Amino acid sequence: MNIPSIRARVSAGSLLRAAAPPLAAIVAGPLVVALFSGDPGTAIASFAFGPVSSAGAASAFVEQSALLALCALGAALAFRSGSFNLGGEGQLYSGGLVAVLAALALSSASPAAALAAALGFGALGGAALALPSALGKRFAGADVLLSSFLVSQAAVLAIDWLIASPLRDAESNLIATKMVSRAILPDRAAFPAGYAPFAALLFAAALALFFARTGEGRAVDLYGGNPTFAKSVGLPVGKLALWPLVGAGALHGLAGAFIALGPAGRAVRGMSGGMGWTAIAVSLLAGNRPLAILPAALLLGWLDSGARQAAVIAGVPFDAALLVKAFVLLLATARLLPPRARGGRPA
Amino acid sequence: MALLSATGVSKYYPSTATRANDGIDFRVDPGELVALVGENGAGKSTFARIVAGLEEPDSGEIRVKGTALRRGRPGEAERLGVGFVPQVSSLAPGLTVAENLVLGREPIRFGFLLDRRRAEYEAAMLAERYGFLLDPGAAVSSLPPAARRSADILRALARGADLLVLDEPTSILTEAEADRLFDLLARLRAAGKGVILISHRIREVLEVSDRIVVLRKGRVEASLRPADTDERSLAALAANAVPRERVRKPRAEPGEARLEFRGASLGGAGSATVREVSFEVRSGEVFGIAALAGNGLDALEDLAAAEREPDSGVVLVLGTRVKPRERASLRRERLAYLPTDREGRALSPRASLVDNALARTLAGSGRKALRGLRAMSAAALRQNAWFGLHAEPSRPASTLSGGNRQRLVAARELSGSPELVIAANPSQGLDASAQADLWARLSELAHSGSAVLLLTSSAEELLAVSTKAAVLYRGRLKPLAEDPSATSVHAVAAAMSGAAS
Repeated sequence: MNIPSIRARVSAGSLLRAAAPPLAAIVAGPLVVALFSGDPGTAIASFAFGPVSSAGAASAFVEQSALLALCALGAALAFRSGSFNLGGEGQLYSGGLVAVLAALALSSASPAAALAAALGFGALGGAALALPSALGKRFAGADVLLSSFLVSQAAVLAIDWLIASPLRDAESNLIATKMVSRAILPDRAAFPAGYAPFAALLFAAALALFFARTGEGRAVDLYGGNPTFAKSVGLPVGKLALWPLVGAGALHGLAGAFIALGPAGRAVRGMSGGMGWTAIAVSLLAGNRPLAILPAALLLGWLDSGARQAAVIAGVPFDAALLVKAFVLLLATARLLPPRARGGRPA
Repeated sequence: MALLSATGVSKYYPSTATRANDGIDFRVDPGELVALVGENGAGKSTFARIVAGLEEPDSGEIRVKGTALRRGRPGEAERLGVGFVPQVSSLAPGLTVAENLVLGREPIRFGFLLDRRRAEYEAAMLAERYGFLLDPGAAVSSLPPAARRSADILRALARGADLLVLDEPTSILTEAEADRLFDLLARLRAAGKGVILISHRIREVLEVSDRIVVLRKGRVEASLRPADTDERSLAALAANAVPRERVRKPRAEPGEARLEFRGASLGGAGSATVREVSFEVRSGEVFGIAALAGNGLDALEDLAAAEREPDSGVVLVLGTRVKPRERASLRRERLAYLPTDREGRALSPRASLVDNALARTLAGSGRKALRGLRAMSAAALRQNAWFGLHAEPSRPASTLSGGNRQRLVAARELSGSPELVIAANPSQGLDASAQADLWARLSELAHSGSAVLLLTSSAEELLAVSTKAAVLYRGRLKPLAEDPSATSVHAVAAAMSGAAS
């Protein structure tokens, strides 16, 4: 019997839909920036080429995009399991603080061991913050959208206070914790963008393989699409409600750990900087596909980085970039419409 | 003037490389009921959606009462009087029946408040006018499938439809409900309204239609008057195959009891309950239970599939009292289940066809295996092909037609050798050929030692497969005294509606 191969067909329409958000960003980005600047030429040039205008700028751009990708991989894992995790911001922040505390506590250990442990604790810090929502979903059918947001918001306030008061480094002008040992921070001469890009590549590949090649990955997709069916057919819905969301928290926590153990080397108040939210846009833009998250993160990383460069060089308000991001997000989410509304057909 | 005239309607889907409609010419006159038949995937639903303005044809023209439908205006067909009732209910589940009927043209109090009482009054009047039994204040999500279908039709009528397009309206209705629907359609036709009826039920098509159009692979294969054909040749033409003779019956010697109900009751007051039901289904037999909607068949299904526990009495599934949270281990290997609620319980719509086909394997040891997924997928696809489902494996299940979704579920559940099969309205949406295959498979399973419980709202289905049969009326079970093969459809239908046997 002739069994058809398992592959996705790519049509011109689906390519166009996928390409619309990045194309919009490429067209709308410079236009918006030019609109807000007295010197449109400089503004457009700094927006478009600023992220790669110097080795330092390029490293920062790659590192930021990698961090964004890590968070977005977490968001995609949760989304595909049917949990709309809005707690990424708090999970990231929590991971950053826990990683720094672990690194400070392990200052006598070897640098490699201390770094590995700090990153691991960072992931645990993020996972711990996702756990209440996951348990609420598992045992009480609680809505993750709401519970993850509320837990995260509470955690952000609590961590703000911890960094500003009991854990604050009195000798620093920053509202930040003490600095960790420099020995465990990446050697910026050898790794100008830190370690985050390697982690992002590793986890993107691992998650792509997980969803494409493992039974557990398929089970997550089936459960995410219809939990009632998953329960009826005998899939272990208890576990599937729990672990992907906790895993999402861990990926956000890991990103937070990379931020804290990055150039700053400490937990700085407000260090999450909205990355948890932007990651949702990246994941949606990539259709929750792990490998597509990498270019999507680069695109939104470019928007952020370009906006920052345009702000410094041409005086464009940084918030102008938000307009572009919002536009891209709008186009990306338009793809969430049910297939029939987009012309899918019943066979 | 024709109510509807379609000329050269073609529709091609590049994403699946399918020519769903290929130059279809079609016409409905006032007062005419035209049936559209054909195998699953023949393009019937696509054509219906094009007529309703929900899809645009690549070429060709649709005229409603002489006015051509313009492109890019999905609401125009409805404004011109086309009422579309899709295969899967399009009502908002969170709203009441009345709220759904007035959706978009709500009666308002004080300029901004929904006048709920008036909406319910209007809905009740409308229901009475057309002879529907519906509680306007009931939430749509709480309605059984048949009532939901009635509400769908009522909504189209509420919007002043002159041409009703009904996509398999009777697939989940009982004979009595279907008869009521056809009475209603007869009244509407007498009033000059037109009907396009998509159906796999050949007998009803022959009884009620003025003209029958057969589609095959997107083309009009034949256009006939009912008087010019008969059940057998129309079925052969529609399914592109000669239907099989009656299904082979299993051996008469049943084995051990696999499902036992001992005085089981579920539900409080009302009609949707089961009361002190006792029966057993043994290995080697197909025990069929038929019921009209509202007589407790849904509750019985929940108990048999261990989705719920009885309020009193005992239900033993494969020898044990199964709590809902423990039933997963049974489902993986031993219990096959085709639910009535296909969308809710049997499919994950966004997941691919192959993943849906694999679901039971994944629920078992297959989920842990890091290798072999490809082999498992190929095996699952072979099951689909064996059940006549040939579609791109990576397509989301939501893009399949209703009939093909049911094929997918049947292929998954009825492969292997489950010890107990719970099949609830298993042939809903299937064309005649697939229906015959399904019935044959149920009989084969019983023959090879499975116990099969068939729950159905169709007397015909009950008699086609069962070795032992009963009807459920107002929550109580009434065994049919005679051998099912010697019982007539009319006798079963009478018992289903409470007539003394």
